[in-house]
Amino acid sequence: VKRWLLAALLIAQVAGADELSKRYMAAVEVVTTKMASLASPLAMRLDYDGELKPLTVSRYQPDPAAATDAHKKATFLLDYDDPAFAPVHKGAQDKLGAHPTPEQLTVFADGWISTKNSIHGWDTASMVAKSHAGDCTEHAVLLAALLRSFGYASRVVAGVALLNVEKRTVAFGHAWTEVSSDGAWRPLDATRSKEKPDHTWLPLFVVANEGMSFERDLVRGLATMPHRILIP
Amino acid sequence: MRTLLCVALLAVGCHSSKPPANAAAPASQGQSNTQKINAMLARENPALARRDVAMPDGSASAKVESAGVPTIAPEGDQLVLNVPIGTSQPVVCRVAKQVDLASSLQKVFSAVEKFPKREITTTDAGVMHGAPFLMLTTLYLVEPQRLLGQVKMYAFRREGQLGVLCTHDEPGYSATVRKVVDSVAETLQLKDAPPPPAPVCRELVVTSINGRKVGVMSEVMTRLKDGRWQEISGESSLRIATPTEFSGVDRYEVTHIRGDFVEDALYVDATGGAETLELNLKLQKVKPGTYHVTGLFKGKQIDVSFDAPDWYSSVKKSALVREKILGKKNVDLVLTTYTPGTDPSGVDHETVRALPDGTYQILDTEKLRATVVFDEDGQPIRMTAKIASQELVMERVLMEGKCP
Repeated sequence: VKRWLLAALLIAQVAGADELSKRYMAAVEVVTTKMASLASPLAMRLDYDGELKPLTVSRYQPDPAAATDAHKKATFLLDYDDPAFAPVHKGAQDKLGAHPTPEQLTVFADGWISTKNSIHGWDTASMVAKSHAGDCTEHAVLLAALLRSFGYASRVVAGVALLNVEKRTVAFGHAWTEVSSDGAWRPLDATRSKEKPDHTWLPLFVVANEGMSFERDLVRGLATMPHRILIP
Repeated sequence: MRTLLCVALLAVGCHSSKPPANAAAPASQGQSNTQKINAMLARENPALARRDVAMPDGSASAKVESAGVPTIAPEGDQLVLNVPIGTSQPVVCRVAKQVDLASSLQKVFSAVEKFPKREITTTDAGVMHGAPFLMLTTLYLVEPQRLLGQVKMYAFRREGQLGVLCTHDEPGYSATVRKVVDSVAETLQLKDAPPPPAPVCRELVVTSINGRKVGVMSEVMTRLKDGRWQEISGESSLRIATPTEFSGVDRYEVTHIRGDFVEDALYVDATGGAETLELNLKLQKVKPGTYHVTGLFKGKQIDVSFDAPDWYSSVKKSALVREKILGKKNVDLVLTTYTPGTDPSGVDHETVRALPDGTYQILDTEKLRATVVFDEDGQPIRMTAKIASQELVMERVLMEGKCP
């Protein structure tokens, strides 16, 4: 039965999203009487299968756990030590020099992924390095690995992004990258590399398991996503 | 007449970038044209009749629904069956020993991907004369001429015998094409095909997401001469990412069971074709409770061992569900699981729960759970789960024999 369940959930990671959600994960229904103002502070209620949890955000709120040396190391998921990843690092170094900024690397990662599609599950960094393709998860993983390869502490987070698109407010399950600087985590989104993620990026879980079983924990994390977001 | 389809299937000889003549349907603005297009998409040909078709040497034969004389001819290691249905394009069925259902549809779809304006309009999954099948229909717009095209594609397989991919590249005739494919599934015979397996049981399960059928799973249990059970599982799914793109997922498992435990197993993920295997693992029990796994996972060679003394086979698990869950209330049964697609390095657990109201759940975690209906043998026949705004349903559509 579990094989059934996991197979279905892996399919569901990308199913149901619409054209606007390109580069994002599963859509989350947004309930609002009109196109919502997403200005800060933003008050909302997250519906977890009938259980409503109020949330007000005025700025980006990362998980506060401090960065450690582990956030700089190569792992199964962020495998910047894989030979297949070497061209990414070299390409960034050739273009940006030996000490690129996280923002420069974000733009570079966005450019490396030349095929923006949503048909991938969760690829490792070396897989993305070779395929040059993917959605938000591939952007997040590639950027996190690239940051680590230049000595930055980084991690991948997943959550919900709220956007106003074509006169309606939409929310998408999304993944992005965080980099640690000055003792705090800040968001970087290689799918929107020329914009700065703000309070409408809601990080819901950190991808803490970067080992061989990372995808199992991601599925479990996905299951913690709210079903709906209600904005007054 | 050259078509998009031949680009996808042959990858040679179809280099023209001109729009396909068969896609010549007006797609200009205006109510009358919308009605015209709808009428075009709704057209059918009811005047089909069963006609025999066979290879001259008798190696293949079928009795298919058609509107003219069907033909069959070898092409490489495949057979190509052309079935006229009274349209400018015939239904073309390619017959091979093995077809990965989802990946084959994706290969056909890749020919349409060069048209930015396209839409996956229909999917289906199920059983056709005992054969698991997947279907996908896509519309596409050829610009600047604004010509509408439609490809209908079906893939089905008879386990261990043959696989078939049928396509039709012309707007409309959906039910007509379905009728033709159904007749192929019913009557196609290959003289040299291996005899159909005689399993103890065979089960097919269809996966739906928000009401759309997107996947089919098969499970075949056979008793080997040495007393072991052989369990062959297949999963083919269409991961519909957006209305314009999808990926085909094909996974297979072959497991040998002795007593209550798995003795060895093979796990293959053929998504994207054999040349891009992400998962190709071999598991071996090295001593009671200890297993060794080698092979490819996410593009990396792995070689790991793990201990799992209470990882029971599916046969034993069904017995435990019958004994400890069915007919009970307020009971939990914790089972050890191994799902190499998400974690090849070790086992995990699931909980089968009998609720106070007499229903059952399967829980990965408290947040990740599904409602399950079991048959009297402890086999799941329906499962529903919700994640974010999506409802997943997995439902048995075929059960032959009686699984242990």
